[in-house]
Amino acid sequence: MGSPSPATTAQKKGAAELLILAQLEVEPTHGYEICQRIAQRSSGVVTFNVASLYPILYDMERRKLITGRWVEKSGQRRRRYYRLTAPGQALLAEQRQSWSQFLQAMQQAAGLEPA
Amino acid sequence: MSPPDFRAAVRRRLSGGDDLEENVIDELAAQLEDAYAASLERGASEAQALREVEAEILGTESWRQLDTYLQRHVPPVARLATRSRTFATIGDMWRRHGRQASRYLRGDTRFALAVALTFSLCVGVSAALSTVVYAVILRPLPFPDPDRVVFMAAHPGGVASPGAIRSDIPSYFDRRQRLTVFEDMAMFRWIDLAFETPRGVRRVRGDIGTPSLLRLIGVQPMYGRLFDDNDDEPGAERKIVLSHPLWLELFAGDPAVVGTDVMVDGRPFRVIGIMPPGFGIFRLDARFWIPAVYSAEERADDHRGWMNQYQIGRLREGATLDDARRELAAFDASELARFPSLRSRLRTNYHTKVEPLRDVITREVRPTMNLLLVGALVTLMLGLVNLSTLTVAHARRDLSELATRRALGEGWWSLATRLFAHSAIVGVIGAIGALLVAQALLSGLRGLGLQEIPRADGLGIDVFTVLVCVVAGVLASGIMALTPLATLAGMPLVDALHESGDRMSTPGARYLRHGLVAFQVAAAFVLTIAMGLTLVSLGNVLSEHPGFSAERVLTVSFDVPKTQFPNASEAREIIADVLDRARQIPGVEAAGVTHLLPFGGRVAALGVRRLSQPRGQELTAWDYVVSPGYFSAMRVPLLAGRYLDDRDTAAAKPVIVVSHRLAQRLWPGGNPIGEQLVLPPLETTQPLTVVGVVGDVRQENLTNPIERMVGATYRTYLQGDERSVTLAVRESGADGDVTAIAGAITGADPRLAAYDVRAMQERVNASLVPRRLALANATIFAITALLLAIVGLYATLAYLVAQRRREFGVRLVLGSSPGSLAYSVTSEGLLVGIVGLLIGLLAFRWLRPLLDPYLYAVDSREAAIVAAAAVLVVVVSVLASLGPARFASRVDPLLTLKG
Repeated sequence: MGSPSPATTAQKKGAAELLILAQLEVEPTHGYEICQRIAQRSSGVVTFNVASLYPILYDMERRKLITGRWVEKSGQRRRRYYRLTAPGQALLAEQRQSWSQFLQAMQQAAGLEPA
Repeated sequence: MSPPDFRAAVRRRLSGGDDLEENVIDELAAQLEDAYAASLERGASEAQALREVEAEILGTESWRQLDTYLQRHVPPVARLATRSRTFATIGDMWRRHGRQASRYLRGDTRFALAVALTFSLCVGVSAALSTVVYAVILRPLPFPDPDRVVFMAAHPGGVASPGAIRSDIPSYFDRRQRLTVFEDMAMFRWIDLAFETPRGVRRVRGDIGTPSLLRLIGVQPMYGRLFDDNDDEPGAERKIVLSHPLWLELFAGDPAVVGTDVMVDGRPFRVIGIMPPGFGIFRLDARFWIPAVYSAEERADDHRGWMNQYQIGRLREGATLDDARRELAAFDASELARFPSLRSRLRTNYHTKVEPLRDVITREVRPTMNLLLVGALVTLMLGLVNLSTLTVAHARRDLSELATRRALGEGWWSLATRLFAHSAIVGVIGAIGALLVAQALLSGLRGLGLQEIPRADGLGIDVFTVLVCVVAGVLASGIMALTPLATLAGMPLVDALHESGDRMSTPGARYLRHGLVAFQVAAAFVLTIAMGLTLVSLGNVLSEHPGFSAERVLTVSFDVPKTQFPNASEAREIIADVLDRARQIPGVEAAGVTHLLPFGGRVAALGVRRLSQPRGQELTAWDYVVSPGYFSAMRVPLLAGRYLDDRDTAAAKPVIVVSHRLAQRLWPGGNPIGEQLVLPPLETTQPLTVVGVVGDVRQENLTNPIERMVGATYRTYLQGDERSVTLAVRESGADGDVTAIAGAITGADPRLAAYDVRAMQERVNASLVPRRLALANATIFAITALLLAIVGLYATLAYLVAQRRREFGVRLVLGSSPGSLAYSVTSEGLLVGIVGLLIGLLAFRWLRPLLDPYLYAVDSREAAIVAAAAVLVVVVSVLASLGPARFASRVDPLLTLKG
């Protein structure tokens, strides 16, 4: 198998919220770290750049799925750390379930190899 | 190195730009910064990391979408704020810049300090000195259209009296009739009159002249009126206009005195007006003005050539100085044709000099002021050059940051405002420092007697000083802001990103920097020579003997008014009584009176000839009327015969003492004792017999060569009727008892007043003010220039060493010793110093004539002074090189090779 090709914009768009919520499940973290974790865990298949991530975070925060807080550390520029809210956690669980069902269905219907 | 600040880049990429809330910008910028840091961690170079971030930002599609999104969903800050958009944006921009600037300065305190100090020093010095120059020679005279007021003086031609400022009475009336270029003309001279003040009779100096005088100047009185043309008619009631200070003294500022009488020289004068504070025409110490009555005799032709009046005129609207000169030249020609006798009397090339009044008032101090102005400009120029040198050297640090910003798309204008915000802080600190330096300098100059210079009294920090500081501050901030930008504009961006200093040290740039420093060294060299020369000159002048001994001599003036003591014998008795009382004061060694005091500011001269000489061959000589005891009090040495003494009474035969110089002029090689002299104005008296010859006394300053002195005659007050005198008292101790001496005067008669109390030494010192000022200036400039040269040389060499670190590292690895590297840096500094010396020598030869007025008998020592200054400059150059040389010798070869 060759190196995985990057996900298209359309693919990412649908999955973005789930991906972001999943990264925040364990601990609060900041925007750049979210991008990094997604890239690592997807072996570089799914990457976000700063410009594309920001509107999603902004939107999710507005819908109260996540909440941000400015943290200042000495010698560093202040960063906005995000954590899950209760509605966010609920949505994560819900999306996980629906995505699992969706993937299963795709495997069967489109003859995809299991991950 | 701290990571670049990406916020500006973010703003630039987003169309909402400056309107966006700081939080949005901060968050995006923080993410870019993280990306940059991660890139570095992965082992990318700074430039690579930057390119990666650039790619992130330049991923145009997602940024375009973000932009659209933000515009649609994120409210701009301006819409939320109540302030106007522009205001919010500008305020925000400056707050941001301000924060950055304070970070920036904290990051490099030494640089900021060096810049602020250099700036304070140069601008402070030049602001203080240009304030003086402005006040004294540039500021307009305080009356309407001052440039139209011109001064006319008879000039006999040749170099004999370049400073001639007087005219005669008949010419005034001719000119008034025939000249058309003037709207109005006036004639006046100064006069000392005795005023009856609440504290006794006091002699006061004022102007006496035509009634047109005050009208011509155009300043209205504070109270009352000015003179009109009938006020000088013979028989008209005597009138007087008082100056503000005299009015305060005599009448405690009571406006009701206008219309009342004041007693002057025993006669009532009607006060018709009070002038406003600060008013003065030519002699700025004039305290009153009275109209003169010119008799038919004074207007007659045989008074032509008696130059004892000042003449001024106000040019007609539209007439120029040249018009006046042309008309007066034509007038002079017709006068010489009318009165051929004038030609022999006034020698050839006689003409009337026409000059603006302001030039005449400031003529004596003009050389000093020119020197000051040149010094102020040179100091300012040196300071700015130094700022550029410092900034260029420092620009390297800024350069990579600027290049990053530029790479991220920040515009030139934005970079310029950012840099200007940084340098503005240094500019403000520097301007405040400059004002402090200027203040200190001005009060120091006041201590040296600055207020003795016309129009310089009460001088301090004023609007002009502040203006100079602010303009210089803006200029310096501009230089500091634009230097790095200009450097950036002139080199490929990629080099700037790599911080590759090599490109900045092209031979051209290096020569330029070295050239600038050499120029500073040259200036320091010239100014050090000037300091040395003026210092030695002052020493030479001080070592000149004035012909008397000023130490421990106190002088006090008093007048014996004719109104109270009508007879000459009464006046003589009073003066004798004062002398007796003074001599009885404990500690008084000797006491005498004189009506003409050396360095006293008064002038009294008479024509004198031998009895055997025909009339018309008089020689002019200072005319002293003194008492016995005067020569002892002043320690004027007796060279032949005897001093004047108590035997020489009014009843005895008239006697006279002459100075050595006058004796030589009248009886070259002969013995004057027993010879007889005639003083034409006193021809009603018998000829005077010479009884003694005394040493020559310098009357006005210490530097007139003896061979150009006219000499002096000394008559005794016992054989005359002199009523305005100065008591000179020699004390045995250093602290003279002023009260006791003044008490001797008022004790003789309570109606007498003691005034103008001054130590004799103080009077001599006053004549040295221009020299002391010149020395102070030269010293200030020399020290400033030396400091600047040190800073400039140090900065340039330190920069050079920083640039050549790698080269030095290689040389160390290849076996050079640290000492040899240090030597190469020092010798580079020395080379710059020597080039500076050569430029300085040339400049000095060119500027030398400017110094002439301040130099006295230095010829034999000039070469030694130049040599000493050269040694000093070389030593300073070497000292300034030592620091950078040490850096060079301590370069770590491993570090630099890795670099």
